[in-house]
Formats: sequence, structure tokens, C-alpha cells
Amino acid sequence: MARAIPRLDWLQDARAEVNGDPGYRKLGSTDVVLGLSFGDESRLVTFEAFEVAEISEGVDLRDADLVLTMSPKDWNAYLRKRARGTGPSLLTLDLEQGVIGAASPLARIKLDRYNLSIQAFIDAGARLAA
Amino acid sequence: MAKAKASQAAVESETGHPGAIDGIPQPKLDWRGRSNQWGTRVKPGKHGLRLGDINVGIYGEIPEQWQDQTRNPRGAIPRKGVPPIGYSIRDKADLWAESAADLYEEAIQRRWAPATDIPWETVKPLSEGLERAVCQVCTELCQYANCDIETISSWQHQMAYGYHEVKQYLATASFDGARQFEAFRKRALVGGGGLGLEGPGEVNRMILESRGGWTEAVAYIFLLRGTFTMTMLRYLEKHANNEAEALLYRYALQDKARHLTYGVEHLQFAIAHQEDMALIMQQLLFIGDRIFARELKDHVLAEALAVVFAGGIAEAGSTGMTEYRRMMADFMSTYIGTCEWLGVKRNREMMPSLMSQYLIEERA
Repeated sequence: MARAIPRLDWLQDARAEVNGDPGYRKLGSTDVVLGLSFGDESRLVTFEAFEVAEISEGVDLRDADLVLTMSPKDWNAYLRKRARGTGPSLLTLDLEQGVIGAASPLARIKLDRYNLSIQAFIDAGARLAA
Repeated sequence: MAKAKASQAAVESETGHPGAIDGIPQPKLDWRGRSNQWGTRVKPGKHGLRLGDINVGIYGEIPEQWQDQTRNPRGAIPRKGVPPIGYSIRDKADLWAESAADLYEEAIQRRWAPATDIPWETVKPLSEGLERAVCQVCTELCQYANCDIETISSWQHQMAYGYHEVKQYLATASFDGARQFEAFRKRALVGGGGLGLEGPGEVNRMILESRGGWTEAVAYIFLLRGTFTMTMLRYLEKHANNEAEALLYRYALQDKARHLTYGVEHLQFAIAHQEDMALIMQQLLFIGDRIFARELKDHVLAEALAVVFAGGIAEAGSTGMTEYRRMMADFMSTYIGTCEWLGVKRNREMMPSLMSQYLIEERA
């Protein structure tokens, strides 16, 4: 069976979309580094002030405040469900499957602190990936 | 006209000030040039111009103790003879958190208006049992929120202005409480239900009546009860019945997460700067756990949550209660994990069984 490849091609486009979206800015300033870990692929998404400042490849995930870890297959399925409006929020996904890791309790709370902005970015990506 | 001109000329001649007006004293301007540091400039960045950004030069010097007993802003020149206000919290270790200024700005930036940011029109009729359960949970969350308001404001006015970052942030935390009281009350009354039963209020009383200092209050209001509320909100978000509830719980989670960030950071600072604070925390939480556990004996909130998690009364006793127990296990894991991260040792055998029963070795 062919190995699933995680959908990550949407990251830069999603960054451009949210950075130009007044609705995203209205959510407020966001300061968190989110690591994405899907099998052999990883990325760092840096949220700073009112924009997604940077998306990095070939990175050390220890630089992240939060790390979202899923299998590529599950990640792609999650994006499809979010695009259809049937997928759970990242908060619920973490409750059910423990997908978010953090180095400390303070870092872990950042998912709750910025949940609306992080979800908005992921959902922009899900729409683009669909 | 000529008479007026002559009169004006006389006044100007007498005072030596062009444009002087008869009967109005000339400004002395003897306060000009009096500043502890002049020429301060700060450039706005990506976040705009934040409270922490202007902590430059002497204005950013935050001493370990603040002796000024007046409202004199940090960095301003004190005026002799101003009667003292009597601030009892004057040591940095008794209230500080490094992120206080940033949390203040974040609270302003991430503000929400329950009246217009929640799509209340998405609240459709639920089964009576489920609506009653949602309303009961909201009733108790209203009480937690008004306890937050009263506790924070009763301590905030005792804090010296040398630590205005903390006072500013706590003002937003108090407002978060007001907003949550409003929003949860609205949810209880928007969908054809009403408010339910008042909660037992024992933990509220413990929080409000704590007298050992702001740090003790922080341990109870943010670490113990704040962690419980945040865990509850996460599970309520998972089981939201409509978009209004989902968004309400997500916004509330953002607010509560900031409270916990301040609380945990302050406890971390206090423990690092006071030799036996970790032991004191251990004792305080030993006492607080007992009152928290006693309130857990009241079945109302647990049953209401079970009904919400089950989506109705039919499976509340099975599916609902199983989810409630998962929620409690998550709460205890986060609560004890945070204590241990802070260096506050918790002895499982000394904890009330109503709490320790939810401690698991590994999450299933």
C-alpha cells in the first residue's frame, strides 16, 4: 500500500489568505510557534502579532511551543472533514486523541489561549487543500 | 474699544505678559523641566505600541519592593505631603508575573462581545432534559465568574502602583469575569430555559475569604478552580449543541487560559523568590483540596454535565458519566502536573479520595 503523504502544500497559501483577512486580524494578536509533525514531514508555523509570520521546513520541533503530531493519513482525513464542516475542532481532537504536545503546562495552555486563531489558519488550509 | 485697549495694555504692562487677561493669574510653569528621565522615545512594532514596549530606561525599572504608598505612577516624581493610600501588597514576589504586560495587551486584543460575537440565532430548541442541564451548568459558571470579579477586585486595590502591569492585567481578568457572567446568563435565558439551582458555593467562599495574601488567592482561584473550569470548558466545547455554544466556550477558554497563564507564572515567580513558598503552596492546596472535594459531593453539577455529555437524560448514567469521569481525570492530571512542574510536591495518599480516585498512571 502506498504510504500516505501529508497535505502541507497549502501552508503558504493559507498564510497569505489569513494575513490579508480582516476577520483573522479581529481575532487579536497571536504569539505562538506551532510545530506540525506528520510522519517524516515537519513544519514550524510562527504566529506573531496579527499574522502568520513564517513557515519553516527542516526545523527542530523543540523550538515549538506546541507540536501537533498525527499520521499523514489521519491529518489528511482531518483536513477533508474540516473542509466539509464535519471535523472536530483542534481542541476536541486533542481531547479525544491527545495530538498536541508541549514542553510545559504554560506552553500547553497556548492552544486554549489562541484556539480561535490557530483553528482559523488550519481551516483556511483545509479549504485550500480540498 | 479704546478703553478696552487701554485696559488690556495696563494688564500686560503690570504682568509683563502679552495677552494677559485681567483677573486670570499667570501660569507659573515651575513644573516644567521636572522629570526623572526626559527624551524617551519608543517606536511601535508589529503589535502596535504595547504596555511592555514602554518599559524603557527608568520607566522599566521594576524594583523588588515598592515603598511609595501613593498613586504616583512608576517613574514620576513624587510630591511631598500626599497622604498614603495604604497598599499592603508592595513586594514584587507577592504579585509579579513576567508576562503580565503582554497578557494585558492580549486581553484587549482578543476581547469579544457576547451580544454580537456569538451567533445566538443558532440556539435551537433542545430536549427539555438537555436544555435544563445546559442551563444548570451555565448557572454555576455564572457563579464562578462573579466570584472571580469579587476576588480579583478585592485584592487589586491593595497592590502598589509600582507593579501597574499586574494591576492592569487583573483589571482585564475582572472584566473577563463580568463578560463570562453575562454570556453564560444569556445562554441560560436565550433558548427557552432559565436559570437553575444555585451552586453550593463552598469553593467560592474559600476563594473569597482567603486572607493569607494574593498568592494564596491565586493558588485557589487560578490553579485549583481555574484548572477545573478550563477543563470543563474544553469538554463543553466538545459537546456543544450549536455554533453559539461552541463559540461561547472557545472564547471563554481563551480568557480562562490567560488567567491560568498569569496564575502559574506568578506562582512560579513567588516560589523562586521566597524560600519556603513551595511548602506553603503544598499546605494551602492540602486545605483547598478538601473544600473542593466536599463540593464535589454535591451531585447537581456532575449530573448536569453528564446529561450534556450524553446529549440527553437517556444515556446520562452511562455514556455521560463515563465522559464526566474522563473530564475529572483530565482535570486532575493537569492540576497535579502543574503543581509538580512548579515544584509543589503532592502526596496522593494525602488527597481526598473524591479527587485522588481520578488520578491515573497513564491516560488510556
